[in-house]
Amino acid sequence: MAPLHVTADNGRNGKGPDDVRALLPWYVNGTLGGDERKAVEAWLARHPGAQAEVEALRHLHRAVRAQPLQRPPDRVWAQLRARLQAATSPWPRWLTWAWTGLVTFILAFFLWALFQPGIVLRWQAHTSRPAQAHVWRVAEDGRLIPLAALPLPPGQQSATFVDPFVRPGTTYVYRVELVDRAGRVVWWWTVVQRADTQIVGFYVAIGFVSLAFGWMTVTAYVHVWNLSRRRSRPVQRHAPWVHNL
Amino acid sequence: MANTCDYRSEEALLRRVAEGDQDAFAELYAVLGPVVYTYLVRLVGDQGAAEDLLQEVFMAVWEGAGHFRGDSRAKTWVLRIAHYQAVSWLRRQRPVAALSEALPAEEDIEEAALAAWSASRLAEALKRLPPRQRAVIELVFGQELSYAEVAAVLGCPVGTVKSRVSYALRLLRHLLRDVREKQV
Repeated sequence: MAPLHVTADNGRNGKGPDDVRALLPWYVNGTLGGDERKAVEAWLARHPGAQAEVEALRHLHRAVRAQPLQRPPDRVWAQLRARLQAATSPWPRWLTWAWTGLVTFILAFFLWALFQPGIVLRWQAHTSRPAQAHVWRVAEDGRLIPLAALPLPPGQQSATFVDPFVRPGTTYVYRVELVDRAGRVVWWWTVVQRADTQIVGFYVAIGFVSLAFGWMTVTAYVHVWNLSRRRSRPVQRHAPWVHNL
Repeated sequence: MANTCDYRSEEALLRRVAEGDQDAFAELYAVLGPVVYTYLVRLVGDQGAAEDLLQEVFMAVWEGAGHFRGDSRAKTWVLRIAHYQAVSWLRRQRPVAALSEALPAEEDIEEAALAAWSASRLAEALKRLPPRQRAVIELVFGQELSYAEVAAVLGCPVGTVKSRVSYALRLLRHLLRDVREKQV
């Protein structure tokens, strides 16, 4: 606070009467400190004419204070409380589960795509320039169930196919056909494969790792989020009042 | 005007608000809400706007309570927020008609004041004061703040506060005389 340097000599030692007169509103509202109050009283004693000004200010003071204090309508508090609740409510539990499910699913898919457990078919074409490889699964009744149509770029004669949708311990029969650009089957063969029983363990491991990682990630995020909401509530930008007093 | 606020309890409430105590926030609103609302209504002259601003002020109090250093009274701090909010609102509105033209020369304040300061005339004259002047009159005589506190609320030097109060009183005297002449 800038000091006013008001002394009992104000008005006599070079400072004009306006210096003291400017303090009259605060003399009237009773907030002047001891020295300043004495200075004003001394100045008033020497300037009896100013007493009328003080009386007028007292009148104004009383009149302003006499105006009733207005109570805000109840709806303001109701709206404020609703905003407060919205601003402070913790992370909803259902959202935690939803995010955990999503993260788990994405991670499981990523791991599945990375390791691709299932029956793996690899072949090397010896015919000239096949355009596509058609993979079929042969059902028990002899029906051909189409699984994939793999394009083979020019020059590529080897290919790999993974059938992930297999039951562990079950034997499957596959038919692979190589097709040229005209759509004619230029070569085909049949493969018999038994699905490994370890696939189950592999899927369980993928599921467990995905779920654990998803749960830990989301829980840690929610914890940090709740903590940040509680401890450092966001302060509006350009709000100088919060730092200045 | 019943405006007796316990300085210590306001401070304590604000500290509890800073810790996230919603009950303390409700108490603080109960104590300072009417004070701030009255100030806002008188400053912006629009009850609907004052209600909206009151919400914004107390949301800012909730969000910024942790930054209150305690160098001033809690009431001063909250009034400062209210003042900034009100001034921002006023700036967004149409410019207030200038009332500073043709101010009479310095003369004794008593003549106009003692004759006209009935409550209704005063209220009307206060309404016609520009927001800046209305704010200082309200802060000095309504809220009974010291000049340092007024300076803190307005965010300006003490010298500016003094000159602004002096100007506001001259303008008020002019308006009171104007109101009296109209009523006559």
